[in-house]
Amino acid sequence: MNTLELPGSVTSILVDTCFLVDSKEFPEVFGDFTRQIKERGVATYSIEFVKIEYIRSRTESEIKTKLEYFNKIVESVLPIERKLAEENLKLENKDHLIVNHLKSYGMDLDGVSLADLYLGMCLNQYKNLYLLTANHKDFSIYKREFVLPFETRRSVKSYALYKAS
Amino acid sequence: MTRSKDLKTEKMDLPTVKVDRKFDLKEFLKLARKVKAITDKERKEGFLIDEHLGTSRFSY
Repeated sequence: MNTLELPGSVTSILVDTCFLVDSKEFPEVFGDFTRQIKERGVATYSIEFVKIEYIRSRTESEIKTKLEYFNKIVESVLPIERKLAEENLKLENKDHLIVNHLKSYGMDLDGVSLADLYLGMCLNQYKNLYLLTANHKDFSIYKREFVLPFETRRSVKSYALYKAS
Repeated sequence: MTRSKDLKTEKMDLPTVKVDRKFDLKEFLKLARKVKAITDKERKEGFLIDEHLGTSRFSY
């Protein structure tokens, strides 16, 4: 199996839930990629929605174990800026972040979840941020800059790094 | 097709994070297996369905 190489221009990654799910199913394959990310000093981010989606469990010890794993991969959870939230209350604002974001999806909005919308808004909001996801249909409005095929013994998991233009 | 360029939002700098470059693969594998044991159990018990892990959002 080939070893995946992280593109050199990538300095910060926004992690989607699928990466957390697959990395514990195929830890050897995804672990090597995670090692590359860390050793190259690439910063890893995510959002509260992804964190909650991932650590959801019934007992404190299970939540703690999942949280420990989340923190091994993700270094920082991006805040929803209060200033932006306040500005966004003014719907007449032509630069309204949420309205513009929904508008940019148009007919492709079907099936796009709340977590996907927030991940997308982070791409719009922050500089030099790449989204790492296997969810290709819900990020069609973004630029797919790199495709990453993760080879497991019985399948190939197709991931991509998406960026806002 | 890329339509995100239509958005006029002024971009912000990402918050600075200190990346811990020391990555212990063995420790990572051990923890990953521990999490997998939990999620396998949760799936078997019907507590964890794909939707709860967000996997219904993905194209596989």
